[in-house]
Amino acid sequence: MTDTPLLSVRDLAVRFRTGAGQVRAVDGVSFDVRRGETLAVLGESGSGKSVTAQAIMGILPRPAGEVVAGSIVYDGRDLLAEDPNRVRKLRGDEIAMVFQDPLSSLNPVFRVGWQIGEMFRRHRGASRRDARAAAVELMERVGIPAARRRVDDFPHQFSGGMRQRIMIAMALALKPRLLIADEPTTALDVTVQAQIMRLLADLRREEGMALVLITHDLGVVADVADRALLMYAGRAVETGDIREVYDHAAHPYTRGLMASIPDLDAPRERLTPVRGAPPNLLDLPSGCSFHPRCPHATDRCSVDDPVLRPIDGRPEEHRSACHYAEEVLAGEREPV
Amino acid sequence: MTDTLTDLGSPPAAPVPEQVVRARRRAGSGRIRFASAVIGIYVLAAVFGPWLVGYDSVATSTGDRLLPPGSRTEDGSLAIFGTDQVGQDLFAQVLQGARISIAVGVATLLLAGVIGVAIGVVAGWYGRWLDGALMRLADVQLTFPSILLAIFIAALLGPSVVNVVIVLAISNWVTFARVARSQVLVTKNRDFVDATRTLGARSWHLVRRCVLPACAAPVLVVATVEIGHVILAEASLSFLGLGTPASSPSWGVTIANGRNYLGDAWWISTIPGICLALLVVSFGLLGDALRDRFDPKLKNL
Amino acid sequence: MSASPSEPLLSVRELHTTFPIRSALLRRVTGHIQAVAGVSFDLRPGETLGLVGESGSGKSTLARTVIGLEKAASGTVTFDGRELTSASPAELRAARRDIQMIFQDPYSSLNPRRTAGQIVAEAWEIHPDVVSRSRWRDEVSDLLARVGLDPSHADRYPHQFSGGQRQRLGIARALALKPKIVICDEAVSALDVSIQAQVLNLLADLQADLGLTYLFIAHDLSVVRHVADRVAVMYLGRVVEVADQEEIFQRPTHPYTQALLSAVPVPRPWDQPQRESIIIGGDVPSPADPPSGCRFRTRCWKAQDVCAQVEPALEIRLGLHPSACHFAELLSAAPGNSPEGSLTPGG
Repeated sequence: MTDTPLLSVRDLAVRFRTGAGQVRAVDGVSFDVRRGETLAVLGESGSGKSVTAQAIMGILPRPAGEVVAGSIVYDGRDLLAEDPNRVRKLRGDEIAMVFQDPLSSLNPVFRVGWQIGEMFRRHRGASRRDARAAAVELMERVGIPAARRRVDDFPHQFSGGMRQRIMIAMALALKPRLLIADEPTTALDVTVQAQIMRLLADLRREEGMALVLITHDLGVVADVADRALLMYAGRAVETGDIREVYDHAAHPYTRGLMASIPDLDAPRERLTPVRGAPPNLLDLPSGCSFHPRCPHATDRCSVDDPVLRPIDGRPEEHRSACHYAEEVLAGEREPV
Repeated sequence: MTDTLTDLGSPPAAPVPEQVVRARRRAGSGRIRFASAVIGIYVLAAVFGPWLVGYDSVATSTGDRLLPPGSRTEDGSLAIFGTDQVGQDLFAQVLQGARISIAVGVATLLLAGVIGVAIGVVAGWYGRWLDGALMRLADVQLTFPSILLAIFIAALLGPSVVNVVIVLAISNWVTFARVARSQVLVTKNRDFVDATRTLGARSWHLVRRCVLPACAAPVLVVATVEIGHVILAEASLSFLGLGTPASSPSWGVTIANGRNYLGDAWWISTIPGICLALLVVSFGLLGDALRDRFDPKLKNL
Repeated sequence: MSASPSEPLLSVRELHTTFPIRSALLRRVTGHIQAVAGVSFDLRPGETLGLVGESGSGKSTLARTVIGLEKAASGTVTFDGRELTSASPAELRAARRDIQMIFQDPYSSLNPRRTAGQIVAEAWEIHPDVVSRSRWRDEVSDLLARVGLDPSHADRYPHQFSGGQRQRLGIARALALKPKIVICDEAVSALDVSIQAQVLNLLADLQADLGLTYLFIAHDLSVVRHVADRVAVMYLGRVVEVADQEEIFQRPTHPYTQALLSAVPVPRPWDQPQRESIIIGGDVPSPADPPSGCRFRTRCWKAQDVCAQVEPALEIRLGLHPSACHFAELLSAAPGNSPEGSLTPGG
């Protein structure tokens, strides 16, 4: 069975308790990740994209955050229903994660080779010598120059880009089938960012693993992702093949985001950004939570909460959570 | 309306998870309420007590010597806490003692706080050799036993409430200086200080508007923790005869008076001792709770 | 194509800013970081000069030196005919009224213990002659409205605003002294894309309304392309190429500029199949120990022996614009030399 998805998230809801009340950081999100594909999860701060990743990895901050509904099925097994110990092992062996800030994710008092080797020692029972050799091999694999010499360096002796490579090496150690990267290049310079995206794309192809790329930057993933999932205020608002979604955006939020990005080839025209600011999750607007910022909103939008649905005339896979997706796409509904 | 005006009245941004997790917890509300209530009772007693129950430090009443708590004195009044070796009402003495202890504590903290914060801010703000010199001075101060200093000053100036305050302030300014200095070091490199500097502000403006407000909360927390120590230190000095003179009977004086009668009149030393302990513990509790709420970083002080 | 060349408002010549490196134990000075190593540029009235570069390029230090937050080791900053690096503190304070700055982080750049109104009015507290105290309330309201904030929110504290609103507040503070030059130090980098676009539009409106001159510092080239009239590219404390923005983006001649442009993520890469992909290896070297000769040579695919020996001057090359490369050439002229796929850093 190769056509069943590797990861299938259904109606996932995550609740956070705050001093001021409870928020639904993720509210009924469903998506699939197929074997070997790259899914880009896109959204601004507060959209719930990172919380979704934390829920999949089982690393929600406790006790504030909690999965309250839905299922996360990995390779036929529901991660939320199964025995926690087996799930923990599965998450270590088959699902790996790379974070935004490599410096705070690495332990500053251990040598990087030791930290990479720990994956082999703990999960594979490798000897110290074998683990070290494997660590050097991995460091070479992720493009760290003079790996043999640098294996005994401490994290602070590496640059930001090199540290991110070390994090990727650790994530790759156990040959995961799914790699989740949460803003992996946000803290890096553009030239280094390009290196890391290239590395992730190469590794995915060579290892045949599936990749989930979480980012706020619609540009960085365009080259490497197969499909896109856009999130807003804890909901999925648009999904589909990345080229289809970018070229034929059928949700006003997606369109607004695209219009907010200054174009490198069309200088000095006035940007047409999404107006207003992301909503307060404690006090979400009624109906479609995007309606107060939406140029297309009608009375219906403040009452009737749209669901993610296929769009007439577009591929079945392309879905949008907008009542007026077809009109938005056709440009028929002029912004009011 | 241009689109640059569209932020008008929009609500604050959605709380992102980190903010959600860090959402202000009302840490230690119970402790704060309890300790404040106890301290409040002490303060009321210290302010109004001696006024309601008169106390005369030179009066003696030989017939009423060493009466146990709850006895009736010769003039028919009730001695709730008993009487001491010269027949004075212990309750009145304890109330008077509360007034002296709290007054000494507050005065000491004000003096130590002003000196300490001033030195800490100057050291942290100007840095370099001035910082080095002032902080070495603080180190020297810490290695010098305050009892020794007290003996020295008492021998030189004689025991008085003012001298006690001076001695204790000299032994306590260092904590304030360190807290203020570390707060200055954290604050002075913040962007908003640079932003104010680019407006053309001079040092005094920056210290007053940016640095001192940032010091306020941690300094208050430290003051609450320290006041217990100060009251205890005052009692110790008075117990040793180096503190307040017998004419102003602080708790330490009363405890010392009872020392020779522990066998047959336990209450003379014990009751002021309990009063002292309860107040010191309450301040400690309040200080800890305030620190947990406002500034967990200070935990090691 | 741009405005007629008039007297520069701000003129920076051979500016150097260095930081001492101290040993951990004895605090002895063991070396120097050359954060800004000989930078010259002019800022003309009403224009926007974009200053781009990666971390370690010294662009923020340059801005901080121009505005006086760091001390220049050598070189001059001349504003409106007055030389600032040798000016008295009083002269400097007066000049600072005309040069203001917008900071990157909308969270740490606002004093958390003061209200929006107090933050904006602080400038007048320092310079009482600009706005009399009785007019503060009205002027605060005007400024808040001007940057798109609700004037009735003047009594709110910074934490009660969103990130975008806080950045608007930072802009209002920078405008309080009616400056001629505003330095935007990564002013939109910390914002979400949609908010970033709103703030960019606001900055454009303010420039048009108030005739402001911007020194716009950013690492994001698409943003710089959008706002700048001219662009200077910095690498390891030096300017490597400077030109009108159309020139820089269409006809870059320095390899670093070419690589930087190529690395900018574009939203629809499939629309530009002809776009060259140059991925340079490695990281920016440490400014404490910069390479000899050309500072970019350790990451450059064109580097020859001469690059290690002779530092290329920033001068007009190919008859186009100033570029600091011995082998300056247009990109289309260099096919086959593209270091495509070279992931292993040089060195």
